[in-house]
Amino acid sequence: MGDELADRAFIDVPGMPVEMGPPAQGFRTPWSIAQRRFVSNRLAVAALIMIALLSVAALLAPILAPYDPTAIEHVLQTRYLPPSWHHLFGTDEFGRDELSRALYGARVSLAVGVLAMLVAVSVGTLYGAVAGYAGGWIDNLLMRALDAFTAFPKFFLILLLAGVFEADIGVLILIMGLTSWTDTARLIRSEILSLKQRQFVEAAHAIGLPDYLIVWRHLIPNALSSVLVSATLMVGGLIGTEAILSFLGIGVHPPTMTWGNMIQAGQDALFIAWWMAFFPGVLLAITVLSFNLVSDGLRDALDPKALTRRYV
Amino acid sequence: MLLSVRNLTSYFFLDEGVLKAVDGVSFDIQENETVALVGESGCGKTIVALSLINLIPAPGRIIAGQVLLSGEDVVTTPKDRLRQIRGGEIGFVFQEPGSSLNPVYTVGHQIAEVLQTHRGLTRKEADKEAVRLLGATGIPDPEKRAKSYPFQLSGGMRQRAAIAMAISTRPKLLIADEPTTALDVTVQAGILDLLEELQQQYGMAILIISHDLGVVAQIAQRVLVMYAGKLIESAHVDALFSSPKHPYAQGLLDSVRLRADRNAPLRGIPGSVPDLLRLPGGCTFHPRCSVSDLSCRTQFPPMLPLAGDRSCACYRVHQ
Amino acid sequence: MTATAELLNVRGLKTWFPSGNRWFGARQWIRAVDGIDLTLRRGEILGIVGESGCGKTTLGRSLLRLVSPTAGRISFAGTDVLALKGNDLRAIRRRMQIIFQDPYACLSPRQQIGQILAEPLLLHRLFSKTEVEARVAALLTEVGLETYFIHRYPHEMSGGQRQRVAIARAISLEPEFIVADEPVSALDVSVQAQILGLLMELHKKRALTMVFISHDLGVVERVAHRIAVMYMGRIVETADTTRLMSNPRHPYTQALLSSVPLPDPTIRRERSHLRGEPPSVFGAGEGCPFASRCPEAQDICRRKTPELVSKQTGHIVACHLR
Repeated sequence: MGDELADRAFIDVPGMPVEMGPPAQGFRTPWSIAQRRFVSNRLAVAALIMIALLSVAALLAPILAPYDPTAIEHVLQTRYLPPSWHHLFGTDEFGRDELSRALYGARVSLAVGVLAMLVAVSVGTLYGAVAGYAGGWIDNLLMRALDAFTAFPKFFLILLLAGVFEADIGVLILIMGLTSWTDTARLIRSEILSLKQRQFVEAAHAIGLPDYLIVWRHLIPNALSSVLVSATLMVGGLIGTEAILSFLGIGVHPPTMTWGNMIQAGQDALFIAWWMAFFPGVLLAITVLSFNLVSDGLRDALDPKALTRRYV
Repeated sequence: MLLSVRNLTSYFFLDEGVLKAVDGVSFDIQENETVALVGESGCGKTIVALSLINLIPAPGRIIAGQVLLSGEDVVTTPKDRLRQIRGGEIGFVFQEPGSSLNPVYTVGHQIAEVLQTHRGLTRKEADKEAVRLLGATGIPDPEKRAKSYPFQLSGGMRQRAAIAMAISTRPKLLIADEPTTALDVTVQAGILDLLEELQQQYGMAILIISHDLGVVAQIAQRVLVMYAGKLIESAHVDALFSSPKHPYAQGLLDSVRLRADRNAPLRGIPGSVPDLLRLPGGCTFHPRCSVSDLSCRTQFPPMLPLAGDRSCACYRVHQ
Repeated sequence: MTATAELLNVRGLKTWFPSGNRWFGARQWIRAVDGIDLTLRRGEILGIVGESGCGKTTLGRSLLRLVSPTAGRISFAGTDVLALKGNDLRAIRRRMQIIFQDPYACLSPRQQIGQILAEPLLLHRLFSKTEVEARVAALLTEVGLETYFIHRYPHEMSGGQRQRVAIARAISLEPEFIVADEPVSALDVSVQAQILGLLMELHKKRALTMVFISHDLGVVERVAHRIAVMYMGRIVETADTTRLMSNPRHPYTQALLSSVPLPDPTIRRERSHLRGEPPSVFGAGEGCPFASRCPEAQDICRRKTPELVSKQTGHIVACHLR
């Protein structure tokens, strides 16, 4: 029994069914309750702010970048300059300003991560919802197909596909999205399976609501919180994946810059120009970490037990 | 006096405020007596039970009061002694049948473990005693059952096993928190009979917590009625059921006596249990009370004694 | 019983669920409902009592086709319910509704009360979007809730209030028949009486026919005209309420009645001791399903399944020894 006040996490008071009266003003909808909980998690909020800052910086790259990231001039004077007031992140082997490159690189890294996530989540949600709701042999068939698909080592699949199709960014996003949807599908399926049993779904049947409306109006909104958590986590992972791919030379090719290929360029010059790999690396780490923290925060905030708080 | 509870107060400290789960509850339990703690959801009875062994989950804790077990205050005893008391002098049976049983160990093993820890028996002796206890709680074929895992037993049998574990240390007080609520009524009868039998055999006091007035009427000698964290009436079972004094107790008994007359209106208590975070001022029951007046809104009425070894917390009753 | 007075006629209803491995060995079945015959007159309240695993919940859902019965016939106002499909099935759902046990689970947590109540009305095109709000407000008033609850979410309401919403939803389509599946079991005792009072009022006002499922004999005694006792998927005894309570014939019914603790300390009943527990739901096959626990079981009880036999008017028992 500690002395701490106000534990964020919900208490499970033993043996007590729920009896609630109207709560304080402004915290009524399930989403606003979740919002409030999220906001009280300072780490998650900090992470969210960080993501927001990075996104804005990436968006405004043309305005914020002090130099043209592709400009190559007076190479011999400007190459491999360590970080200074003129070049906060130093310069690369061609004298290009690393800060500007990092800003433009952020655009690609973030965009690829988010868009690939959208592809994965859309496919995964649809697949999982159909399997979960239909049940029976359809579910069986879909899940076994999923198992077979999962059996392929994902990374090699990406390598293969990226090699076969010339990796322009659009294709890359599709490839990454189409190899990452399986976890979401499983998650949605199990959510829907458990939601299907809930009494309010039975009640919807009882009034004669057709299947597709039950899925759309009742099941998916309630499964949405899991999707959100899984999606944010996925973005972090996908950004990392893109970085690795670009690092290996299979992802985005120069001259388009992403953090991944910037690190790769910095690898060769690691001992003479540590800053080339360092700054993109740090940015990458911070970004992925931020998405993970936001995902954690969302998971805590959206905990379904948040609605049924146990009173004594 | 076996157990003497004085001004027990346990609060939960939440984001939204302070939840006054138990607010100044005082009562006594004598040796060999069966006392029932009755109330509806949200009245705090489970927290009272947990407070008696100082086992309230965070963010709750006991902030005031004493729980004197034969003179020793459970609230302030050091951890080591507390561990001895829990499961030793005070046995606990939970609502979910067998929730006190670890699913990955056999039933016999768990009871034996308790015996070894608390009564210092050897492994062999403990195993034998465990089988005997299982038999004593009415489990058929106890030797075989001792080797079963909890999930292999039905709800009623799990509860019997949990009771066996709880009484294995010959506790002076057995606290049973809604022990039959999750069981079928035919199984419930058996468990209640068992508790009565064990009490006679082992001479222990029982504190049974329940919302079921039928169960209370059948097994209890004295009844304590709780509402929204406070004790509002205390009386012998016959007295309470024949003439409840507190308006809430009256309403409760009226609600249960549905059978009386088909043509009589079904009478409950209007409104619902208050939010423990936002309790009404004065007497917590007054918004739902048919006989309340202005004086009931100022301060919570003190628990005052009445004739016939009973007490009640209500201004109307003592006028 | 004239044809027009009879609303529901159930014959040989069986709802079995497959269990166990389909690939190897014989398929095993969970015989949740194992041959039930029922008749209900208009305006009648039939109570169905039994303990866990007796199949009463499945029976309630089978009547409404929320689960698909395996065999039997359900005739509702002359229509064969089990043969209906598509729009016809949807149409008949308007006339048969259900109230669930758990007020915390039967309402979608993400919908406001107003939306929850409007849904069936809009679905069946009974009202336009502009008219529906007035209708919802009227429903709330009818079940004893203030109209401001329209904009509340379920988690902001107490159990009793939520159950009122569930009841409002059930009556919104103006059904003739309602299955109430343990409608008050999850509520506090003082609230139970309120909700039962509401149900009785609605029953009278709207001339409802009800099947009232409960494990709580006290409650059923108060509200039902007739009671059927279920055990392991079968009905073992049916009689008018007063007669069943005063003169139970089947050993199980007797045990059940004697086990219920009365809220009166001066009455100490001799509790009839049943061996064992309500068994697993696989079904007994041959022989009386109660034989394994019956204190009076004879050889014939284990060999031959007893039929439901009429002992007096309206009092039917399935037992070899009674």
